[in-house]
Amino acid sequence: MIEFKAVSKTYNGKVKALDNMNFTVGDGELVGFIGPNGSGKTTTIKLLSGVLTPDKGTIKVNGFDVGKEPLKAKASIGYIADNPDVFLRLKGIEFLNFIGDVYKTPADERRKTVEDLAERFELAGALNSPIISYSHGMRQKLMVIAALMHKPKVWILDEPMTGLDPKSSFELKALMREHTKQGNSVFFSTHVLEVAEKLCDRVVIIKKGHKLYDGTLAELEKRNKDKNLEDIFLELTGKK
Amino acid sequence: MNVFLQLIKITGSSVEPSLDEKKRSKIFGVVMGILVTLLIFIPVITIVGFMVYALTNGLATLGSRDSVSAGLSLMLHIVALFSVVFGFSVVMSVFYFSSDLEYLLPLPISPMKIIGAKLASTMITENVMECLLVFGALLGFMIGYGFDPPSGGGLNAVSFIAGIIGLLTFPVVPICYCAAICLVVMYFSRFFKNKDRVSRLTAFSSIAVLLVLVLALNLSGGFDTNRFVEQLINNDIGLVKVLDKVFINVPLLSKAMAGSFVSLLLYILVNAASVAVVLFLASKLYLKTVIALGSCEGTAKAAETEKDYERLFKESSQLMAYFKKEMKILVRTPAYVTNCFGINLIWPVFIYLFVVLQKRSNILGSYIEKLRYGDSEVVLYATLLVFGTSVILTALNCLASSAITREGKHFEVMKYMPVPIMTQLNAKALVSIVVSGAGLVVYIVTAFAILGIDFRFIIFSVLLSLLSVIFSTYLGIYIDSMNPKLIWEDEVNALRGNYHVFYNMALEIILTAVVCAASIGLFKLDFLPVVIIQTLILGLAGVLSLEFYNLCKKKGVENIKKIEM
Ligand SMILES: Nc1ncnc2c1ncn2[C@@H]1O[C@H](COP(=O)(O)OP(=O)(O)O)[C@@H](O)[C@H]1O
Ligand SMILES: [Mg+2]
Repeated sequence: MIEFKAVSKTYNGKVKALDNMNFTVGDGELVGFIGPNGSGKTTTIKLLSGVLTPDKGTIKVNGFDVGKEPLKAKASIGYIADNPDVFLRLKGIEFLNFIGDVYKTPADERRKTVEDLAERFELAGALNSPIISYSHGMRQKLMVIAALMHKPKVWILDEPMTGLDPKSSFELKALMREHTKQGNSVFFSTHVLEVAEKLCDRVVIIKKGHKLYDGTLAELEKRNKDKNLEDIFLELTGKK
Repeated sequence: MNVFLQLIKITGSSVEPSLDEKKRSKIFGVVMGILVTLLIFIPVITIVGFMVYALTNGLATLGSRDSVSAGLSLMLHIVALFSVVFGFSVVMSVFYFSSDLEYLLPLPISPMKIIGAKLASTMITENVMECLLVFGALLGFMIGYGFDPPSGGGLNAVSFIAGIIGLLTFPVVPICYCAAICLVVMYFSRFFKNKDRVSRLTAFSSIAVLLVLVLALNLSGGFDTNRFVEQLINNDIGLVKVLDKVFINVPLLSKAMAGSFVSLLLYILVNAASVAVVLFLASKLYLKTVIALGSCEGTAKAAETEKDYERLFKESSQLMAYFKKEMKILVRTPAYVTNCFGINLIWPVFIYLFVVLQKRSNILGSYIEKLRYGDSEVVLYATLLVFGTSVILTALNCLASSAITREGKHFEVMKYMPVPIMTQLNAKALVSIVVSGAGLVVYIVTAFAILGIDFRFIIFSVLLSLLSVIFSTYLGIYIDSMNPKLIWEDEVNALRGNYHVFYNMALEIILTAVVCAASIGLFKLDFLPVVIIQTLILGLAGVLSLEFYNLCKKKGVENIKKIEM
């Protein structure tokens, strides 16, 4: 469960990145967050994960206020940032173990998740090498495994498909769906329309820090009968 | 040429604070700048200057125009040696591990230009501290030589021009040595799997070379100024002879300072030639070595992974997990290894030098004797020595004052992990306390045990040392939390371009100075017996530990929460 209420965020007191943003993601819901570059997606996601603090508004994750009970809120999030280059000097397995300790995941649970997912992502052979030797896609997959070890109630991903090969991208989408099936919330940003179209229960469309649309894509299409999704999207976000 | 300047700016950008950083800490920066100048720069210049002055004076009265600059040469050789030892890790990380390479390499810029720019920015980074030493040495020489010239000599216009040129260009040859060695070593280690290991190995061997050279000074007979000057005049010191060949720039600059125009021309020529050699090597070797880098680092060992699932999935507390992560990253990053750990190995060398230098007069011997019998004045000095060394060593390895800066672009992780910020700071503090504390305890216990000093004093010293390390650590972390420099291209810049390291050092030096002055004052005025003063110092270290811990817990954590990248 994610509740984002009347949130505004300004950078350096000048750049207004988010203006009175509202949305919710329910339990068992998979929501896509769509918008052109620079529209405020990463800002929103960083506010959710506690990396940034909002100027105004309240953000709740799994019922915990991110500002008031940050540790509980953060513990219930699995977060995948837009850049997977962290702690490059650690080996893959060491990073996973570190994250396991940090999120207080029992050892056998870590093991189960890692064995299962490393197999699915074909990463098992690389886990004993330093992350610096991984490709972008491999790093991204490592982050996915790390984020899922503690079975987060809320899974947040920032542009997760970037750099993934078709098989990995397929596996990731399947994982997102499985995770929602288990009653968790999944919220991910993308600027690629097709991804959202196939995957999401609902989409939130954002432009220049304002919410433009919140609902299913089917309904959006119904409202604009004679146009295809891409045209609608371009129109909404003012590129046409 | 335009591209070149642009490149220098890019590769050196991480050294300069950003405009925003500048604004935020303007007043603080000015105040600290003044303190740093007063406390570090001026003493350094004075000490180095005085040493050269004394030697030059001795030489001027005894020797001829040719040998008068031998003292200056000796000092410059030492500076050059240190530049090579410390420059090595800088060059290695700027050439090979800097994150701007990813963007620079694909651009249509010749490797010569890239290396040229990187070389220039390295020299600028390195120049600050080196300039001070060289300035002190040159000044000392000019005073010693100018006021009391030997027959047929004296300062002339050439000396002044050489002084200015020398001040600006002195790091060129040492850094070119580092660069050339780096390029060649990396070329031949292309076939090794782990580049980090190669660079770490080379860095450590350069420290080892320094150790051997210091030992080779062979002053075991004790230091006698007159004999030493005599040896200098006759050019009779083996080490100096070797160094004169290694750093040809040094004798040339010294002779130019004594007024030789030909030497000045040769000096300029040598500098130009060394840059040319590096650029030539770069054009041949650089691309071949740098491209292979990322892919070479450790290949997957699929077979081992299976077993490691068992071994590695052991649970630890958040604090320990974070501590282990920090240590692993430190130990695996060449720049941190040399600058944060290596420094702990370097300073026993100075102690050795000191012990050797005073052997003839044997001041230390009588002090140690007094310490054994518990002479109260000497006990106080020993206590203050333990206190000061612990505080300053902790500041010197900059583990604490770069604790947050080192996070760099990963800073966000501190924010989104469900770990209280204070726990993270404690883990970082633990790193500094363990590394500095372990080194100190080992040194203190072995030194005092060998000298046969009362075990109660040893226990007291260990306790005092640890408490001093603790408060010094939390102070360092707090200072870094005020305005950490999170944008840097390579790890060296996280340490060198980080003014907090200097600020922290300045503060710790003031603190030590105040404590020393107060204690000695109290003792000399017969206000308090030594035991009470010792207790007070220990108490102070304890109170400061608590205070600075609380400062981190309240203000430090708040500072970090406020930082947004
Ligand atoms: N650290 C920052 N400082 C200043 N402005 C920023 C910063 N990060 C993002 N912005 C601005 O905020 C807006 C939203 O950026 P972002 O959330 O990253 O967009 P998106 O992820 O949708 O591409 C942009 O106009 C961007 O320029
Ligand atoms: Mg983004």
